[in-house]
Amino acid sequence: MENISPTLLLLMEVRAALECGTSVRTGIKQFLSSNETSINDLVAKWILYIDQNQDTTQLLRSSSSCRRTLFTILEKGLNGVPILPFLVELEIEVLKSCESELYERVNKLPFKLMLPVFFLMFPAYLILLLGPFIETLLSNL
Amino acid sequence: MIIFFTFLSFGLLFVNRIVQIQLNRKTLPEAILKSTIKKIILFFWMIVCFSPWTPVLISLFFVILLLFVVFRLEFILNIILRRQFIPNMLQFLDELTLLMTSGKSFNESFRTITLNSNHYFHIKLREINTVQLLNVHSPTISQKEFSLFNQILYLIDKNPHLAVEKIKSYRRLLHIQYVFKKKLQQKSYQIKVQALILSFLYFGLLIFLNFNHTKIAISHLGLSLTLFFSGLLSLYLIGRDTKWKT
Repeated sequence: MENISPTLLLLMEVRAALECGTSVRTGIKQFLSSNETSINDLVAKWILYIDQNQDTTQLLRSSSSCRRTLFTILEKGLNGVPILPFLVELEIEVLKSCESELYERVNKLPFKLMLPVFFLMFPAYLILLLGPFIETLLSNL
Repeated sequence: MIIFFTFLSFGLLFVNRIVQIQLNRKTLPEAILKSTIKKIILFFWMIVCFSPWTPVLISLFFVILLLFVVFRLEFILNIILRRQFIPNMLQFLDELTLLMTSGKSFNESFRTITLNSNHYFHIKLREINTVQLLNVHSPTISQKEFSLFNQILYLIDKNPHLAVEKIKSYRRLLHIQYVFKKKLQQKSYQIKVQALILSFLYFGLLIFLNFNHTKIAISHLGLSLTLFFSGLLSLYLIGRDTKWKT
């Protein structure tokens, strides 16, 4: 699992670029060049669609609501609308969403870990311990 | 016995000399490292003298270990650097911001922090700064961790009036990465500990049964091992997990 959500990373890179006085496009390019995340292909495709004036709804259909919102804001930014205040607000929301996702995963983890232990490792112990006894028992019968 | 200890002492002195030569050749201004290696050699010598095990084997092991550490010093230091990159960088950025808000320029603050430090991280930063000034290629910059920082240095060089803002935004990005990394580490530690304890118990049981002369059929052993390793693989896959939904 990546350390940080790629959506959050993209948002922060674009925000940092805007705060440094550069454009949204520079921020996106910076994100694509310095990170290898699971959404790199999606971002590259999305920016190509935007440049060709194509509809991006189909492309972002399977993305989460946070990601879709971010792309909508970025599209506005690419069209020249000032988006920094929106990005700041969205960052808080994305952070909350990431934290809750992580919390949920950490909570589910003990149950997930129990499954291989019960169904694979515990039988492995049993075979090792009881195998010779069962074999002797069967040969005596 | 006396002859043995004499040989051992000369051997360790010889190793110490090689260590010093190697360190000087690599031009790493690591005075702390040199003294640490001296202490380690002394510690090994004590262990070898007082241990009940075969001293020659132990001394050979430690000598090989030491030589490996010295010859691959830069490689080991780079691993440590990569692991400690975010906390070190956060601390450095905090110091930099403090100095800059007190009225010093970016370059002056940068030099104040890095110039008199023997910390390997600061040495690398110094190298990046020099490379930036001379406009030449350096392997440090091609390291993934330093690439973003290098770009920020470039931007600061172009727009020095925005230095504090750039540093602060970079710091925020690193801080959030660090917080999430710590939280994820908690999860991976849990999996690692569980896998380690279960493996320890399993192989302990296997050794115990072997010492007890319990005959285990090959088919049973094969099945048990397959199940156990499938379990370990599942634990590993759970640890890797899927992508972020957000």
